[in-house]
Amino acid sequence: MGLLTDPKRQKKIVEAISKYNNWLCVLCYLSGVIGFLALAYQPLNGATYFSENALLPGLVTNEFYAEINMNALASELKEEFNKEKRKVPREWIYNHLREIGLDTYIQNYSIKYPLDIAKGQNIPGQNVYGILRAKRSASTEAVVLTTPMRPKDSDLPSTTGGIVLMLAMAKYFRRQTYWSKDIIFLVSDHEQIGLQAWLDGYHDIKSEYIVPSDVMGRSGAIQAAINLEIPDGNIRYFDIKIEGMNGQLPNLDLFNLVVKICNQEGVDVSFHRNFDPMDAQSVDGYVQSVKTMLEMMWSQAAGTPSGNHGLFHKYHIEAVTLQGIRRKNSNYAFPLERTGRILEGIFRSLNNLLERFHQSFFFYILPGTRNYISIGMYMPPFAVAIWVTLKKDQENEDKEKKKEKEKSEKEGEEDEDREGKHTEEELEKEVEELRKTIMDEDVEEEAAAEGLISIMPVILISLMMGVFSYTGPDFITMFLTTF
Amino acid sequence: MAAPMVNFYFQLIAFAFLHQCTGTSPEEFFKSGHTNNWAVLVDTSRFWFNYRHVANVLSIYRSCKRLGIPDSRIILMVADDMACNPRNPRPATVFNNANNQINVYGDDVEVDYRGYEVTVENFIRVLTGRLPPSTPRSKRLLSDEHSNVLVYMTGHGGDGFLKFQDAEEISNVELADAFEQMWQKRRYHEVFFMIDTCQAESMFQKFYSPNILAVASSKVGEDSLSHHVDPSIGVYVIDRYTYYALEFLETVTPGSKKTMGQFLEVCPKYQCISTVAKRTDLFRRDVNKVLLTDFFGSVRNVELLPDSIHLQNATLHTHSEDSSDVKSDKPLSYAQQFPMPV
Repeated sequence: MGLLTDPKRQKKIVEAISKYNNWLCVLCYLSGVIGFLALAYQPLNGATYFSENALLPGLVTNEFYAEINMNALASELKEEFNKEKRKVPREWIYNHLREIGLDTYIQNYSIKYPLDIAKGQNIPGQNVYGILRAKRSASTEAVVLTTPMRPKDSDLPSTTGGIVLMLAMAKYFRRQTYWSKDIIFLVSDHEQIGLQAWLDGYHDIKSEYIVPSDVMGRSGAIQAAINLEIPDGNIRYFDIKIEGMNGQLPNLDLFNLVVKICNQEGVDVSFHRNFDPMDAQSVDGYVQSVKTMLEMMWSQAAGTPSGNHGLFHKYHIEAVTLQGIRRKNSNYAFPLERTGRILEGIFRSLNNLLERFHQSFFFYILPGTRNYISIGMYMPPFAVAIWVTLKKDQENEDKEKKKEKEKSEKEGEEDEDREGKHTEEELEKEVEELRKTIMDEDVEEEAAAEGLISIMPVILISLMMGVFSYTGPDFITMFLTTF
Repeated sequence: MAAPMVNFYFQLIAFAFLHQCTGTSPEEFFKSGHTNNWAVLVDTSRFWFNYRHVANVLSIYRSCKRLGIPDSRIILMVADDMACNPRNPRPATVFNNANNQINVYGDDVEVDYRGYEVTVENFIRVLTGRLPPSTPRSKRLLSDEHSNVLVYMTGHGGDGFLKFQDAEEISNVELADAFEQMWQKRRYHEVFFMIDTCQAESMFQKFYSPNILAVASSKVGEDSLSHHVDPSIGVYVIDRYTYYALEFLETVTPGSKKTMGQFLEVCPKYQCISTVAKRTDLFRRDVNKVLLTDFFGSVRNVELLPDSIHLQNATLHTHSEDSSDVKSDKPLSYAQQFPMPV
């Protein structure tokens, strides 16, 4: 009999574990947590690599140059924003996209706030988007370049640089013949709600709270999306944001692609505003890696997307946000053209794709831009840490079983004492013992069932909480309106 | 009337002319034993990132054509269309070198099997000749027992297989059996098998038919590497072995005396990084005495008559005989257009 299948040995192991149960639990939990944090140490995790052969990242020289005077355009756009502090210059953007020669459309949508916050009024919104059709291929696939429009009175930093860059890129891209997918240039408003409205309209999904009108101009299936949040002026470095809704992440290949092209153009790139440490194996480097890792997990745990890109993940569209960070009086700041070349490199790589991103990881934790911790690496320490809960449950079951057994054994002994002297009734004794064993089994089953019953309430309560949070807002809205 | 005489003199002059050009003895002309050359050039890879495989096969195609094999004797199988791929920034061109910018696609390329027609089944049918009757002549390998056939294959391979079109594979056993069928059907005189893939040696390890000379770009367990990137197109444009093979072939002219032995030594390890493997045991002749143009070119041999032949003025006789035959009642008929190879 093997080590684990031999019942005697099994019993011994179970007894040993039960004896040191509490100590074991503490040990497991601590070692799980420590093991998890240790994964951020560079020698223990892997360097990022490209899994998708078709990408051919960074092989082509980027030749983007701005044919329009981006600075002049940016100041013009800023003036448009300044005209009305609460509105966004949609017409201006629409006209410029039209002028460049793209198929430009405006999508209307209205927002219905739940819980009656807006007192029954529907708030209108408009997205502007232009489609650059690929000349030599059918419009079966598309990639999206998007940036949110932010009115002057918004709390978030402005994105005028991004809008101007998009126009310049649209003009440059239009002259190229090597596109195999359509490129959709999307400028959305109302932050994430506007983008959600566009996506819902594009994929023909009806929702109760965001009501998009039909999306008139359409391309094919969207393969990837890049969201820009670039302010006006010279950028010092880029911050990449990947966390999506409910903590969903884009394919690691897309993240690696953006990092590689940025490095190729000599632009610093950070993740959660942390740069890669100089010496990853030193204590400082390790602390920085752990900080980045925990910040990423914290951001994922919140469940809200860290940028507009997060809304794409639900549709199996890989998306990241490139946020340009300015620093006053920095010598290393670079102009928008460099960003243009980075975007050109990214889009040329995306152009080479034949299938959706599927080769690389979807579940990972990043301690930096050059290393990754895949789910295969972080699951074991995590499993060890939560083994505590399973152990405790097992312990409860064992305790119940033991009690019942002791009780039945006592009864058995009493019975034996009573009937042991009669030889005629030895047969009866055997029969009784058999009955007892059957009863013991029943009792054990009851004990086991009891163990299950003991955790049933927990499961039921969690389920009910889930159902309530999902349907709650609807109910509350209904009740509020009736009252 | 004087046709045979003119023929004889012409041949004599031609012989003398050739003798002037090459400066060798007549005995060497007929050592090879073949009378015609064929080439079967196969690229098995699809997709834009396999641009270099198409460039490989088209470069070999250009070399073969330059050295004299006509399109009617070349079966070119290209699995994907790189020239018209929307990702190609130079439409209708395929380049094999970032600097020299030779357009190997050109406007006179004749691709016999294109796109999805390049399958394992079609390849083996071409080699063995078992094609449906409706197959056009340009898609058939109409070789006979005096044909020297050059077979070049490129794509992605592994230990014992070559990947076709990202969907199927041909194994080395199948390939060996196909060559054996060719031998038994007397469909070749000699075969030169050239393969540029990863672990290419495995593809010729199972050959067992005579008169096959084989060379591969890498040994089992090694990868064949690509040579360089063209940064304006954004892809790798050629593989190492084919690049150095082409460098060698560029020095070859139709009358060149370079030998197969020299060709087999092309691309040593420091250049190719992978080890070039070759198989000469099945080949009856000594490779150092075999001309490169026996396989890559199509040199027309000239029939040499060392003794003078006294030709009678036989034309008058034949005329009168023919005229008498015309009156016979044997009906005339057309010759069979497409003689089916058995």
